[in-house]
Amino acid sequence: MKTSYYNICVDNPDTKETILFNSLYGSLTVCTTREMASINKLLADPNGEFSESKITSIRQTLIDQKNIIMDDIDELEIIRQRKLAGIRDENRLDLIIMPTLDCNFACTYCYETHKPGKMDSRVEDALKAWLNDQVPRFKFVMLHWFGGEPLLGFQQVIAITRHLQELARRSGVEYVFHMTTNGYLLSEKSILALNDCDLFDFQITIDGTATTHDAMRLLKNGQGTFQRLFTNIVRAARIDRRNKITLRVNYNHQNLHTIPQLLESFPDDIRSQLRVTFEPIFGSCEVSATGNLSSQEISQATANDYRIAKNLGYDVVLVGSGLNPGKTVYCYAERTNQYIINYTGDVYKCSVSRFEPEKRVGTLTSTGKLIHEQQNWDAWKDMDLFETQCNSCVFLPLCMGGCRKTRLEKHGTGSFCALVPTNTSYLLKQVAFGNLDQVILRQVQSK
Amino acid sequence: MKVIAKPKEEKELLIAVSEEAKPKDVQQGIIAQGQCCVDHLCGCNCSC
Repeated sequence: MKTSYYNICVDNPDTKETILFNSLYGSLTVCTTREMASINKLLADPNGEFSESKITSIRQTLIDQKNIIMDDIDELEIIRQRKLAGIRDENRLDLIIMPTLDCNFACTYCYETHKPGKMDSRVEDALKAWLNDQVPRFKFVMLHWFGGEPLLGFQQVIAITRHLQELARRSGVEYVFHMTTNGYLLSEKSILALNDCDLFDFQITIDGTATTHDAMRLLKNGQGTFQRLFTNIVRAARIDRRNKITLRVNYNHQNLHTIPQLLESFPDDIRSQLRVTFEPIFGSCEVSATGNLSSQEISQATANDYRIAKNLGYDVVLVGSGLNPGKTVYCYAERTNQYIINYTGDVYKCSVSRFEPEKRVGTLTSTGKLIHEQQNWDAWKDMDLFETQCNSCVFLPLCMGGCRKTRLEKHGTGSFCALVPTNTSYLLKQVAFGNLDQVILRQVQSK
Repeated sequence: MKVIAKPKEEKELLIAVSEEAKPKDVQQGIIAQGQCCVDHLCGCNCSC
C-alpha cells in the first residue's frame, strides 16, 4: 500500500479537528486530534505495524476513503486520462456566439475592444448551415450568447437560437441555452422572445451597491446603470419562474465589502432564481483584485458573502463546485468540440480575447464549412496536458492545469494558482464544519 | 473518524464524457459540475 499523493489536511483550531480531503477522489473525513496522531503515522508509513489498538480500524477507513491506496495505482495517470477524456469529449458541442463585439457599456475594467458592427445575413446563413451539419453528431449542445453586448444583435440572437432549438429537437439532441448580458436591454419584450426559444439562463453582472456599481459599470455616456439593471432583473425573474439569473459580482478592493448590502436589496420572492457568484477582477494593478487584496482577505470575504447569500435564500451552487472531484479540463476552451463564433465568421477558442483575425483558429465559409487556421489550431490543441509544476501540485485534480491561453502565451500557469488552495481550505471548512464565523485561522498543509 | 463524503468511482466521475452516456447524463454532468461561467474574467476555478 502507499499514501495517496492528493491528501490535503486542513486544521480547525477551534474544534481541534482536522479535515482530511482527497482532491483526486473527493473523499472527506473529519478527524480528532487523537485520531490524527495515528493517521499521520499511517500516512507516513502505510505498511507499518503499530501497537495502538484502534489503528486497524483507522487504517481501514483510510483505505476505504482512498487516502491509502494500492501500490500499482498511478494517480497522475488517472488525472491525465481525465483530462484527455475531457478534451476529446464527443458527447457535447459547446458554442459561444458573439453577434457583435460592440457594447453600450464602458466598464472601467473591461478587457474587450468594442468594435462597431454586427453579424450580417451572410455569416448568419453560414452559421446555420454549419449547425445543420454539426448538431446531429452530438448528444448535447450548449449555446452561450456572449459579446460585446449580445442584445445589441437581438434579431440574430432570436433567429439563430430558434434555428438551433428546432434542429436539436428534430435530432433528439438535448440543449441548454444561456446568455451573458449586461442586462440593460433586457426588456419585457426581449425576455419573452428569448423564453420562447427556451433560453431561460442568464448571467448579469452587478458590481455591488448603486454607488460602487455605477462607478465601475457605466454607459458610454458616463451614466450609471444600476437602477435599470436592478429593475430588469426583478422583472425577468417574475415574468417566468423558469428564468435563472447568475448574479455575478466582479470585485476588487473598491467593492468587495459592499456585496452583503447588495444581497439584502433584492426582493425575497426572486432570490431562489438568482445564482450568485463572486469573481476577482484581473488586469492592471489599479483595478486588479489580487493586486490590491491578499488571498486570505479575498477568501474570507467571499466565503462570508456566500454564507450570507445562502441564508438570504439565493441559489449558491457554486460554493461547493471547487471541491467537486472529476473535473476534466480547466475550462471549456480546452475541449476540442468547443468553438467561439465571432460576428465576422471567425472562430476562436478563448473568450478572454480581443478577437484579432491573426489569433483566430478557423473561419466559417459561406457554405457552412469550418476551415482551420492550421498553425493557430495546432498550437492550441497540441500543448502538453500540464506544466511541469502541475505534476507535483496536490490541487491539480481540482484545477486541471490552469489557463491554456496563459500557458500558451506566457509559458506558465498564471497568477491564480494561489487562490485554488486558499479557496479549497475555506470550502472544506464550510462543508465539514458549516460555520465559517468560528474559523479564523487557515492552514493548508500540502506537500 | 467522521466520514462526510466517500470517494467517487472513476466511472461515476466520467459518465458525462463516456461513450455510453445518454443525452440526459451529459446534461446532468454539466449541471453537477456547475459549468456556467463563460467570461473568465478571473481565470476562475468554477469547474468549466
